[in-house]
Amino acid sequence: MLEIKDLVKKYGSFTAVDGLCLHVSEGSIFGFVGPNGAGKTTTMRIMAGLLPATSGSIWMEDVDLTKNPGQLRSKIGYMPDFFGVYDNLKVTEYMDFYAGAYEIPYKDRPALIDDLLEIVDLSHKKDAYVDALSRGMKQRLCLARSLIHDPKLLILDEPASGLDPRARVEMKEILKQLQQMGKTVIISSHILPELAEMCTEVGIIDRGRLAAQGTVQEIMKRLVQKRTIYLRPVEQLEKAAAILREQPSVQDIVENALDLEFHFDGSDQMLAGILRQIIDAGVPVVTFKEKEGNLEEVFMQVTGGESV
Amino acid sequence: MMNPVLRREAVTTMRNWKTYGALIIFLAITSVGAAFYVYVSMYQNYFYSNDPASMIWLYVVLAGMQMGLVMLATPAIAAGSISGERERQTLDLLLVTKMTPLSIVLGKMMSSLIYVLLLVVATVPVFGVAFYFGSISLGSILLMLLFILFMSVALSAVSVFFSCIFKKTVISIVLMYLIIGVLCVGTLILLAFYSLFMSRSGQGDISLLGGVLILLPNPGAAFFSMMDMQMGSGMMRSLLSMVPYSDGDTVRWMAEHLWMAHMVLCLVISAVFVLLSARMIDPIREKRRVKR
Ligand SMILES: Nc1ncnc2c1ncn2[C@@H]1O[C@H](COP(=O)(O)OP(=O)(O)O)[C@@H](O)[C@H]1O
Ligand SMILES: [Mg+2]
Repeated sequence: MLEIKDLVKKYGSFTAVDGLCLHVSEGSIFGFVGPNGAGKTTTMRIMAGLLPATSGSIWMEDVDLTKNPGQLRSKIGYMPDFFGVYDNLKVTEYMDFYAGAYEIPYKDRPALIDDLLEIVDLSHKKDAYVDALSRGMKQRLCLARSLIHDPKLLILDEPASGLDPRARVEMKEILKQLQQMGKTVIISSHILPELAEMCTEVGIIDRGRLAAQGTVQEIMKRLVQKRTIYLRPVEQLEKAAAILREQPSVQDIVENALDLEFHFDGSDQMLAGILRQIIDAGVPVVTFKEKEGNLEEVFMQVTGGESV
Repeated sequence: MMNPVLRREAVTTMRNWKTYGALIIFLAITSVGAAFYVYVSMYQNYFYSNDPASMIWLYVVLAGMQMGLVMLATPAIAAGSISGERERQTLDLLLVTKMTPLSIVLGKMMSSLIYVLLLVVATVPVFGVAFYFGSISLGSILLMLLFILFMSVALSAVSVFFSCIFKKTVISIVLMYLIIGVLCVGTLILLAFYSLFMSRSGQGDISLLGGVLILLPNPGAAFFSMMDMQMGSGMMRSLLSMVPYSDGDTVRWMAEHLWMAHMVLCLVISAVFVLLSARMIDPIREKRRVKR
């Protein structure tokens, strides 16, 4: 779908993107992760044709976007990290304006706008003025706007930043829907866990270079020798701990009153085997899971501890 | 399909209270100016009469005021067109659409012009007074309005261009007023020096042409040239007569046709600055420049 080759962007003598190579496959939700200043926005602006690249190329359908951004405008939807709206304009008029800018015929617009507002859950705000919407609503409206020409590829720059938790959940729901609609989505964030659940693939960028790419699990496996596993049985905690102590791949068992944590260094199959042993031994396990906080650690490790 | 930028601007402009404020100010200045002139010329007149000649001058005064107001209003309206989008962070959203930089600039230009046109048309009834009392023809009034429109097109093209360059709208507006000042007053000072210089060196044939060229970009001079043609006011003629060694008939002809050349100049300037503006907001123009 999209192939970035040796992309370089220099601002004067400062290199913001430094030989970035990236592959985004069709239908994926690609998480573009990196600390602030890593070059995410710069890369996405080049993809959207808003910024000339210093060198390198971005290929989509055999077109180099760095040379002919105009050619694929109708196939790419872009939502910037910061954007504004117009005063004195209603939601439907706002959408109609961008529909016009994408040369959508007048007669198709009302139905299309209704559909899109439905997707982003703004149907009840049709006649509201855009500048009076909340930040989360504006964000959703902007997303609807970026969908107006039915693009194949969506480039979303930090769509979840600055949103309250509830608005984030809504944003995630919308993304899921987009994936079902068959769109390829590139979404950036400086927080990895924020993206982990919703992305099929993740690329970690640091100081303009790709530090790692793959599924969240792959990256974890490659980068983390020790995974932290959390276990909580209803009872017989000691029995479970005893089984764990026998495992060569298990270290640093920390026992608490009701649960325990341990570091694990091995394959998923081995981990599943350990769980089976514990259950076979009659321990009533309620929770057995990899700790979320790990992602943040991975991120720190990859980006040299400069994450936010 | 109507230019989307123009369509949107039309909606938001009509909803903005500032539009009505500007409209009221425009109307107020024009009608108070007209009333004041009528009062002074009629009731302060020794003969206390309705003198048709003074009514003809009412037309010149009204048209002049209209022209001055448009000169002030156009930069104020057009100079924010691109910088305003930048400030509001909506320009990128516009640039990623299928609209070309040229159509964005044209949309902005047209919305500014329609705004100016709205102000001008609103004051047309005041001209009815001149039309009614004086012997001025409807055609003359329309030609004069067309002239003002041309000037407004050129001014808005340059304003939009500045709006592409400068982040702050205020800078563009101030710069535009400076330029207008130089065009209206600076060229007159230049003409004075030129005449002084020419009267010493004395080359009759080229001296008039030089004088005309100096006055060509002056919208005020072009305006009075049109008034010369329409009313025989003779103001441009006396101005051009400053230039030494110029033959009377030629001066008269030049004085009455300068406005045409000025309108052509307006068109050329508009086209050049529209293209330049489109280039300025094209986000990947650096790339293209490298390729060429
Ligand atoms: N217009 C610019 N001029 C100079 N430096 C810039 C410009 N835009 C971004 N940068 C720098 O480039 C680097 C990458 O920025 P950006 O792409 O915005 O990172 P991210 O989106 O990952 O936070 C930063 O160090 C930033 O300071
Ligand atoms: Mg960014």
